[in-house]
Parts: sequence; structure tokens; C-alpha cells
Amino acid sequence: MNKLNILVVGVGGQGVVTLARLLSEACYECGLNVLMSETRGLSQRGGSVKVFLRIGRVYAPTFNNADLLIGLELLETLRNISYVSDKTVIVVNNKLLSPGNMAYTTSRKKIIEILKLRAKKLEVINAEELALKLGNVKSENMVMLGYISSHSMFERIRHCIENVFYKSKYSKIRENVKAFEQGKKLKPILY
Amino acid sequence: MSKLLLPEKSRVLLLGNEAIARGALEAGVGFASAYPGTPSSEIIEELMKVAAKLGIYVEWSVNEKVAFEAAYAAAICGVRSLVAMKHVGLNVASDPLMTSAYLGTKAGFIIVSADDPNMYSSQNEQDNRWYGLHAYIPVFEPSNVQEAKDMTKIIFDFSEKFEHPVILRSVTRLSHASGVVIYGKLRKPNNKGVFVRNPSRWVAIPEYSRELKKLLVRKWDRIVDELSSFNLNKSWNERSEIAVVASGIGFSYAIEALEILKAREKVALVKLASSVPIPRKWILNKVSNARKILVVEEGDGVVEFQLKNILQDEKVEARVYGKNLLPRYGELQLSIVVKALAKILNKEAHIVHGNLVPQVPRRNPTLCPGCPYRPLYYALKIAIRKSKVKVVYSGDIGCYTLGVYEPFKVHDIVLDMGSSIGLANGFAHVLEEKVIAIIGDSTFYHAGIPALINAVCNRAPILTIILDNETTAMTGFQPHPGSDKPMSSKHAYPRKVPLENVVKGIGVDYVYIVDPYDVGETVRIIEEALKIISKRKEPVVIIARRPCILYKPIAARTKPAVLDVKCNRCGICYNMFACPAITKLPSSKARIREDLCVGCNVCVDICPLNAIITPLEGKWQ
Repeated sequence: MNKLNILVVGVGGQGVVTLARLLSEACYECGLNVLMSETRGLSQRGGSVKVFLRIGRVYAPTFNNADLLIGLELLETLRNISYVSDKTVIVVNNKLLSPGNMAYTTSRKKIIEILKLRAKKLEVINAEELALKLGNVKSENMVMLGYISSHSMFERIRHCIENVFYKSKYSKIRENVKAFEQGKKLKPILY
Repeated sequence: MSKLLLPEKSRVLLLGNEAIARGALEAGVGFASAYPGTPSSEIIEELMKVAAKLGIYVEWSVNEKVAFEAAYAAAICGVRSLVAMKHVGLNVASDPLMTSAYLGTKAGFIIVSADDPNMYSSQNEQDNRWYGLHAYIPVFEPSNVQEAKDMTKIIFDFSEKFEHPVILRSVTRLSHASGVVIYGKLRKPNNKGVFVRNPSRWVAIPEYSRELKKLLVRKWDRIVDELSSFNLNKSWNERSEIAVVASGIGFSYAIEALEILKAREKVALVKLASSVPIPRKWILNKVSNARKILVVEEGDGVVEFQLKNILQDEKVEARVYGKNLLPRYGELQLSIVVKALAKILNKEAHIVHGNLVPQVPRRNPTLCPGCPYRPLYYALKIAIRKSKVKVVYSGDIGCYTLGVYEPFKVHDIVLDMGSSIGLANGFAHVLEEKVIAIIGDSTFYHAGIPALINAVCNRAPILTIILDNETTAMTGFQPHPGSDKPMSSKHAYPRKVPLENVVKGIGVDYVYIVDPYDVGETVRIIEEALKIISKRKEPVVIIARRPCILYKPIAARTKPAVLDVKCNRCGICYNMFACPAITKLPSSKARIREDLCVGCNVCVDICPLNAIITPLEGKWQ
């Protein structure tokens, strides 16, 4: 893993920054250089959230091309498609949150089609569904973290993700532990 | 233990603002103050956590001017001090800033200005490095998180050497970036000082100030010279014909862009850590061979402006590029810097073009479910409709500014902190409409009080609604003078200054306090207040009091549900009240989203058909 650009996106309140922070701490714990850039304040209140996470020999706090795009929500993933090229892997939660205005009618299926067409690989994960089944939709970010920890891209730092999660305050909540563990075993939905 | 107190040589993953805090501790800071503001708040937040343990004094001040003056006073008494604020905060503190350069300091004094290019959480994106040129105060800019720590420590020494204040300019992408930092040694803080009486130095009356100004310009020349040996300014390949001069975070973009273009060896790279003033002799030496110079900096062309001046003075014929190739607004981006560099290198830039963004609807930030401002705005709109009056809403800065969006649209103008009442002082005398100023509690303490005094003594007929949620919510729940948390590290309990005491003390005769969760009562009070203003032509204040739902969440309460048979699809709850926890079903009936609902139960009140109910759980409550 010489240099890796990861973009984490979602809706304020979904735990986008938490997910990115745990991932960056794991990379750091495994001895990799990390640089993470987030925005706070007004942008947090239910709006679009975007975190840049860079690993390896990097300097600039942001980038234009993502190697990996982690989406906690489909529409936000679509919104950030300018970061996607045919070298990008997209891992996205199968969840669609309509913004306040109801004008938008593009379906889940249509978004997934566009994402699939543009990316090198698209992996759609039923993280919301699993989190709801476990009792708390708020643990969907931990399902995603679990899934990512078992991803072949992160084979070398898998144990660090595991360590960082279990050391964090988030592992004190039962639903989160279940979400993380069962997230590891999730299989992407095939389209 | 706080990670800020780990021993020397520790490697720690830190936020830029935490790194600045650690740097201050390594310099032995004894006094730190701030008014919260994104992206600066975490500096004081982190110092506050370790203050008692280290025996240093840290406070949240009522506004940036007072924060500045407090820290400055400590510094002239010999206590190393730091004051932090967001860029626009320095406007509030600009009065003491300008003259502090005349008076100078004794111990090191650092003003941290956290600028917000691209305005993620701000009303403008002013570049505060201009203040350095304006005030004769040096500005230093770190390029990454490690340097943020190192530089903070070093410039305390610099400030102390010249007995002069210095500005540390950060930006969002530094303050809110996390990176690996290697620690230096903590220095024992000194928190007690001595004031040495010396009127010709500390009293800025015209007679003394004329002399102080002469000393100031001479000091400025010495500072320019000294910066030529400032060791965070660095350079590579000075002999090249093409040079890149980059300051602050701009350096991080520039060096990566050069690596992407594989041009590190071909280009003279000059890293400016001291962007105001530019060390004249040093920079001339570094770009003496250059025919083309690209300046990479975030914000305005502050370095470019100074560099062009110096080159013109010295008759150096190099072409300087900067804001003609790089954006004049927003943030720098790697692809844009690569493109600009490729242009002056006459190279093809192999930029992978990202996909065009399809039409995706905006997702605006919104008031949280359970936020007390939503029922307040809802009641306000009803009261205005019932009163049949035309209104101009003079808004202010905080979470409640989100009222500008659908469905409430209650801010007709927002300018700066405290301007809701300030502007209303003008509107009220020239408009036929009723003028309503809407201001948050922390904002009122910060800059609303003088404006309200002005309204009282000039009899401006304004309805001021103070939204009191007991905290400075938007920046992360810092205390204000009306909060139940102490403002400084010295005290365990707050000494409150209640809003109603202030408002009554100012001389407002009609002051109402209402709980915005009680929508009916809030409507009634707003109607009554408007009548009083019409009759008596003087200001009236309503304090809408209810804690922020994130600051003090409601203890487990029953969440309401919609009775499907009673709901008649009127849409009041999801269109007009517009709580994010109420969704419109395909049938146009309403449903409560249990994952988002916090159980405030205000929607039970606003449904005209009583179709939203709080279910009893099989027992009497």
C-alpha cells in the first residue's frame, strides 16, 4: 500500500467522521503515515459530509481521485462521483435517504447502475438492513467498518482495525460489536 | 491522561488544532483564551482539559475582543499567552490588534487566526494575512500538522525576542486535518506575572503613540532581516530558472504537485513559513536565477503581492504567476495546482478527469429533530400570520441561521455576529414593516448587548427574540455567560449572568420568557409583543428558553406515533413543521421515524386533528 486515497461520504449524523477516524487510527497503529481532513460546524447538521483520508507518502490534505470511495448513503455517493474513475473501488451502504425536498425521483437501481458503470468495482452492502435487524440503525457505520476490515484491500491492517475498534468507546455498545462482527461476514449484493 | 500530556518523542495522531495546543504547552504557555468559532475551537477546548493539571489559566471569553485583551494583558505581565479565534473573530478583535503592535509585548503572545477558505462554516472567506501587513504584525503559516506544533513553539520565542505580537494563521484543511506528530519536551508554565509601570510604553495617547510608531517601523525592518534566518523557511534547487514559492498549506499542495509531474529536480522550491513580511534578502537569493515564478498560497495573493513589490524594487525581471493561474476564491486543489505548474513548465498535465456530476439535489443542513428553534420558528410564522403584519427578519449567526431555508425562511439578512439587532436599529427607523431581530444566546452576549442598549435609548421599535439554548451549540457546546458550566479552568461552578437580568438592566420594560416547546403560549406572547411595539414604539424582548437537544438530550421519553385512521394528509407536520423525524408516506399520510425521533412530542401539539399521539405504555404515568 504505497499511497491510497480514501473518500468517506454520507449524511451528517450517520457517523461518517467516526468511521473515517477509526480507519485512520488503525492505519496509524499499523505504522502507516496518515493524513485525514474533515469539516465541522454548520456542515454537520444533517447535511452532506465528506472526509478525505490519505495513506502513505502524501502531503496535500485533499485529492481529486479516490482509490476507494466508502459511501454510507447512495445519493451522497452519487454526489461525489467526480472523485471516481475506472481505478476506483466503491463500497456503498444500500441506503437511500431523500433530502427534504421531494423533487428527486431517481431510484436506488438507477444510482447503482451509474456507480457500477463508472467505477472499477462496485460493492453494495446491506449495512442498514443488518443494523436495523440488530436493533439500532446507528450502528450501520460499524457494519461498514467490519466489512472493510475483511476486505482484501486491507488485509495487512486487518488486525489493527480490529484492535482500534475494540479499544474505542464504540465497542462498549452491544449493537456495535454485533454490527462490526457480522459486517465482516457480509457479502456484497450482486448486480 | 490527555494525549496532549504524553512525554517527549511520543508519536501521536493529532488534529491540527490539538497540535497547536501541544506546541503552546511545549512553549510553556500560561494563559489562553478564545471565543469559540469553527475551525478554531478545539485549541482552547484541548487546553481547557489539561489546564488544572498544569496550573495554567484557560478561559472562554465573551467575545474575541475581550479574549484578545485578556491574553495580551497576561503577556505584557510576562506570562506566555495565546488567543485563538476564527478569521472573522479577528475583525471583532481588530481594535486591540492594531495598537498592540505599537505597544508590543513582554512575554510571547500568539494570536491564532483559523481561516475558513471555501466557507464550510463561515459568512466569508477573508484572508487574515492582510491583517499582518495592515497592523505590522508578522504572520506565520504552518504547512502540515507536525509543523503546526513546531511552529507554535518556535514563534513564542520569536515574539518574545522582538517583544512583539505574532499571528499564527491556520486554515480549515490544517486545523481540521489529522496527522502524525512527534512530540518535543513540555516546558514548565509560568502563570504569574509582574506589571512594570511605564506610561510612555503602555499608554497609547497621541504624544506617546507618535514615538511608538517610529519605533514600530524600525522594529518591522529588523523583523524583516531576522526572518531571513528563520529556520522553518526552506528551499531546494535555488539555481533553477523556474521557481515555486509556496506558503502554508499551499506548500503541501505544491510539493505533491511537483512529485506528480516528476519535476522536483527541475524547479526551485521555496517554502515560506513566514508569509508576512517576506524575508527580503532571503527570497531574492532563492529566486535570483528564476525567469518564471509560481506563487502557491491559500486565500488571496498576499505573498504574490509582496513578492512582486520586492522584485520591482530590485529590478528583477521574472514573470510572477499566482492568482492568474490559481483560484481567487475557494480552496486550493491538487489538480488545479498540477495544472498551473504544468503550464509554467510547458508540460502536459496528465490529469485523470473525474466524472461529471449528475443532477443531485442539494442536501442542506437542517435543524435537528427536537431542536427548540423549530417550534419557535413555527410559532413565529403562525403569530405573524395571525397578526396580519408585514415583517423584516434581521437574522444572526448560529445553528438558527438554518431558519433561512424552507419551510420557515425567517432570515432576510445575516451580516455578522450581533448584526441582527444592530441592523434592526436602522430598519426600524426607515421601514414601514415590523422589524424582528433573531439572535442566539451566545451571540447576544458576544455583540448584541451594545446594539440593544442603542435600541432602548433611541426608542427603536424592534422585537428581539433571543434564542436561549444554554450553550454555544454550533461550535460544539462551549459555555457562555448564561450556561450552567464554568467559562474558565479556575472554577468548578459557573457565575451566571442571566439573559433576563441583562435585558432588564439595559432598560427594556417588556421582557417575556417562554418555552418554545409550548407552541400555543409562544404564539400568544409573540402576538402580544407585536401589539405592545405598535402601541409604545419601543423595543420588546422575548427570551425563548429550552436547552439544545444535543447538549441536553431528553431522558428516555415515549416517542409519539401517527394514528393512521385520523391522519388526513394535511402535511402540516412534515411540510410546515418539517421535523426530519416525520416522513411523508406514499399515501401522503405522516409517519414518525423512530430512528430519528428524540421524543420531544411537540408534533403531538401541532397536529390539528390530534392524529399524532403519545401512546401510554399500559400504565398511568
